[in-house]
Amino acid sequence: MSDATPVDDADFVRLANAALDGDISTDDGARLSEAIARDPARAAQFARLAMLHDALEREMNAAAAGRAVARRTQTLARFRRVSAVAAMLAILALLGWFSLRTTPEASAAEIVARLVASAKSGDRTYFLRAVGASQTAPVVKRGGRPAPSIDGAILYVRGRGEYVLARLDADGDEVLTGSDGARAWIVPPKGVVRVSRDPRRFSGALPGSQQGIAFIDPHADLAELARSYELTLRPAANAGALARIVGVRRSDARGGPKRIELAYEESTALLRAIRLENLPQARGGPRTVEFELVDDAPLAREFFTHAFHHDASRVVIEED
Amino acid sequence: MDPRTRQAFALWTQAQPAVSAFVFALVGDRAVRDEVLQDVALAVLEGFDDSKGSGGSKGSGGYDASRPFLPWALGIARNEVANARRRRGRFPTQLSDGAEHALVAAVAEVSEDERARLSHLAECLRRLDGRPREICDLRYRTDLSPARIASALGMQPNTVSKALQRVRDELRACIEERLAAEGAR
Repeated sequence: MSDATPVDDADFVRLANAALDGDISTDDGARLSEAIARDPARAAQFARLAMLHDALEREMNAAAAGRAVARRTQTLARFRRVSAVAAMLAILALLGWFSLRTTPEASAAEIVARLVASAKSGDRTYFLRAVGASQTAPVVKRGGRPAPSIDGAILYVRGRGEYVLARLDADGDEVLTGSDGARAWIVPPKGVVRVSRDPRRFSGALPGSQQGIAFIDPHADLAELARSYELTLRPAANAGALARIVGVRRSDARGGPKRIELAYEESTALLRAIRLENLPQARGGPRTVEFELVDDAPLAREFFTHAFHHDASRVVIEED
Repeated sequence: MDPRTRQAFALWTQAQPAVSAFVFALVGDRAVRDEVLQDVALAVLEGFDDSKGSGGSKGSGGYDASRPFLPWALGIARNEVANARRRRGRFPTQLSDGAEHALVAAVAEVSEDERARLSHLAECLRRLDGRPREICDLRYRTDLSPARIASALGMQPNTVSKALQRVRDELRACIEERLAAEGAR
């Protein structure tokens, strides 16, 4: 037995929930372990809490899936910043180009036109999740520090080349990269803000950018993707389901995600999810990334400018 | 599907929520949990083909139909978590060996009763709205940590943790109410 401090009821519940929320210190973890190992009643209490957490995840996802098409997610509406994505428009445009080549023209053209129109019609906020075994392999930057994680990042898109990608670094501080369509920028938690007239500058963190498919330049990315992917349309299986477009990288193509899947509402053409599978791993990072639409409320007009995201006192360096 | 495979699927489907909760408690990461669960499901099916303990999958032994299924599946899950830990290193959650052992017995003991209680959870969740629902959604659907939720909503992490605790307490109370009402009928 260790000599860990005994815990009372309230303390045990706090420790158990902290563990199940992935938010427990090593010392508290040892106290929790001691309590569970020593007392079968505590073990049972922890087991019940674990089952509650598991059921909450299942039920919250089921509830979200069952909501009406017209529902507007309010989850992130109170975020301090707003957003937009050129990624979306680029994907849609390139897939549209593909569709015209690889599927019955009328339906593919119609769908893509609707998706593009929908993407242009308003702001979108996506939550990014890394999936798969390589999820925990961090991208290591020069200097040895891991790059901010794409897992849990928020991507804001407006559909005309504007985007903001919000990630957390190893210290839990927010790193923002983005573009207002004309100038790209990066706002780190502290230090200088850098701005560039190269719209691809600072876009390396966007999933797919390592493979030259950053989804922020429709014209350049389209050519590469058109060469490399076969496209299939999958209509919704029933009235409540999402329709899908699947792009599979051709066997003779080099680089890029092996498979791209877009899920959208047939009635509104609202793009609800993107999945990039089997991303090349040469420089670390996740194997698969999912984008989930969490909000489509309008963002502030100046949201995609760097100035919106930092104090006027910050030093701004124009790189070119 | 042959009858034995059908039986394996039926037992696994029933046990899966408890095994899922157990694995998550040990690894603290959804993606890792899902990977481990896939390995557990495969091992369970292999173990079913290897009944009466003639070797079984990955040292767990075949399934003995005269004994309860869930403890056997939890044993497999614990082995698979250990395998994943060897491959990946430390997980966010790190219970001691003694705690893991105690948890296997505890999950097997409370699973059936807790499953019945949690069947009321969906109805109780419908009562949740406003900021509590928003926080709950960010935690359980979007999988943000309390610290990330706090950052997103401009709150203190401790405030988010307490809010989540209040939500869970309220849901527990709601479940108890519904169980009591059910018992009174």
